[in-house]
Amino acid sequence: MRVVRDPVTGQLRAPTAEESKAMDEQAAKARAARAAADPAGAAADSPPPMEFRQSNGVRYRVGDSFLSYSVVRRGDDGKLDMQCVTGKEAAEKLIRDPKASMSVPTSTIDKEHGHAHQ
Amino acid sequence: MHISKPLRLARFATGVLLSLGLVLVGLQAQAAATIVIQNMNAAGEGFNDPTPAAPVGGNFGTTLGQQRLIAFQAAADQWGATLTSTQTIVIRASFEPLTCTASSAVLGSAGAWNIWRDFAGAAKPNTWYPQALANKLSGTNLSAGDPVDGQDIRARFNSRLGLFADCLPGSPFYLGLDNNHGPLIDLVTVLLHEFGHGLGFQTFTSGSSGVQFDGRPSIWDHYLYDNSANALWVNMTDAQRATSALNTRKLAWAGANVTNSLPSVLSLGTPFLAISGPAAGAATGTYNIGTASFGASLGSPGVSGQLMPVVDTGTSTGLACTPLSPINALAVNGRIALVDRGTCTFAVKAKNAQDAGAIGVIIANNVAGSAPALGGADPTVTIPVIGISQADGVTLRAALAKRTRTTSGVIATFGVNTSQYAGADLVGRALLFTPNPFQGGSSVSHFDTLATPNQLMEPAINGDLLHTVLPPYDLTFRLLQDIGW
Repeated sequence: MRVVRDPVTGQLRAPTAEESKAMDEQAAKARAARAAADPAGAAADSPPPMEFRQSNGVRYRVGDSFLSYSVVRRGDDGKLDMQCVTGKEAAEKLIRDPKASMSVPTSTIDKEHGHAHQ
Repeated sequence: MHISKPLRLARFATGVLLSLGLVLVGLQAQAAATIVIQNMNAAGEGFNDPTPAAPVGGNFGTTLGQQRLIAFQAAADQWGATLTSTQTIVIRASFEPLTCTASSAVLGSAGAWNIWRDFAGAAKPNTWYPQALANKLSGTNLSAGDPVDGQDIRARFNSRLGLFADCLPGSPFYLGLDNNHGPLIDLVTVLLHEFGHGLGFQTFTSGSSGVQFDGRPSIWDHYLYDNSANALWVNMTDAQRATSALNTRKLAWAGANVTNSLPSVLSLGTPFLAISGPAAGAATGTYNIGTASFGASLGSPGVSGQLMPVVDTGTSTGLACTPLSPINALAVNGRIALVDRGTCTFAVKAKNAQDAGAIGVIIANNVAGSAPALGGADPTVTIPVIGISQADGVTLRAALAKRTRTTSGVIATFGVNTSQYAGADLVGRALLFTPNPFQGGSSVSHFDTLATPNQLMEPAINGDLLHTVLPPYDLTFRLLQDIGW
């Protein structure tokens, strides 16, 4: 599912046809850039894990499966919050869903964090 | 080890020369372990971006691409100076367009590309190790025969960050090496964190389901100790592990290296709530709490008093969103008020309870999950305020069911336990991040956010981190030592 933040209302909504087209173009551009940078395919999105039994142990090429992603979001106060998550899906969720939980500490003394007010 | 500037530039010049096209580039940190950054970018892109750049924070690259590569190498140097291995650690890296919007972005990703089990030198049988560690322990390059997919770590970072209107404009990576990043995003810090995951600071077991990868534990799981189940993850069922991953502030790291160094790194002082008293019954014990950004700071020994609920007429809640009724005011006057989250701000609830004479306020969550941290501001609130989970609120209200108008027989005490390290359990083991509900990708494979001072491997990459992975500032390398580094 795709959503966009309306620049006027600030609310999330379905993208217009033009916005969808622009997103498609950006995604295609990103894919093309990755393909150009890595023709061997090592950078392909999530190649399935593959087992290799070798004389000295068992190897799994896990590929993207366990990559950790750093994600940053700018809050209403202009401050940046960075969070590390594992997996592309979790990272995309943080990007696309402004309400997705960042790692808010639940019990701190002097650490800055983004508390809910209500 | 930080190589000297002339040497770094000399290596970089070699890297630029060889990186044209798709030739892999090796920039080696001459240290206890050699880490090679393989430049996967095509000419003119990413690490090879020719956009002129002015020197910044000790990074003397003259193009954007050069500065990116130098920052990468600085992070690799830091790890290379710390780790010990006879085997070269290969990080295949690129800068490329990644997902972003005007207000958010993927900074980058990194992690182990290959994992191994049952190789010669493995300390634990039938256990998954990240390849860089497996290579160290075996003393061989286990994937030597695979030049295509044999890398230890894959790293991709966002080439458009802060440089385009649709990609967090105005907030590019800080490419300096001096950590003087101001409001910008310090690339070296982010790299130190993500490389840490690739070196082994992660489990390959699903935290949400408890299912082990290919039915076998990760080396990480041998050190995860659940203080409620009194068991290690390797000895649990899938269901038990899934429960453990939600066991907030009860999942600890049992490795000796971390535990032994922890007192020299973390500070003493952990917020707590203790319930006692003749009528407390099953509610007797200690609870996880969320602190407030307003009201009196928690102290030691803290505030203590009879706990009394606020009760809204005709409902099962006590919201305290308006001045308290005479009956509620009588109940909380000189005592600690238990109120429910909802309808109005935390600060309004606290102020209403304070105006009725309460000496402290406990706000119970109105949704499932961990105890909420309480945001907001009201300088007129001068009593201490904390949050607890919805489940704990139900437990306390059950204990308060039988009471008089002014007495419950349930004593609440909350403040700071000055004998417990911030980010550790009661016996001094580092806590892992286990919020409820589960946070995909963040839970379990990070230190708890309570850790003070901030640690490199917390899920939130904080702006005050130093470029170090060692005590007395940081526990990251000690944890990697526990798993075999």
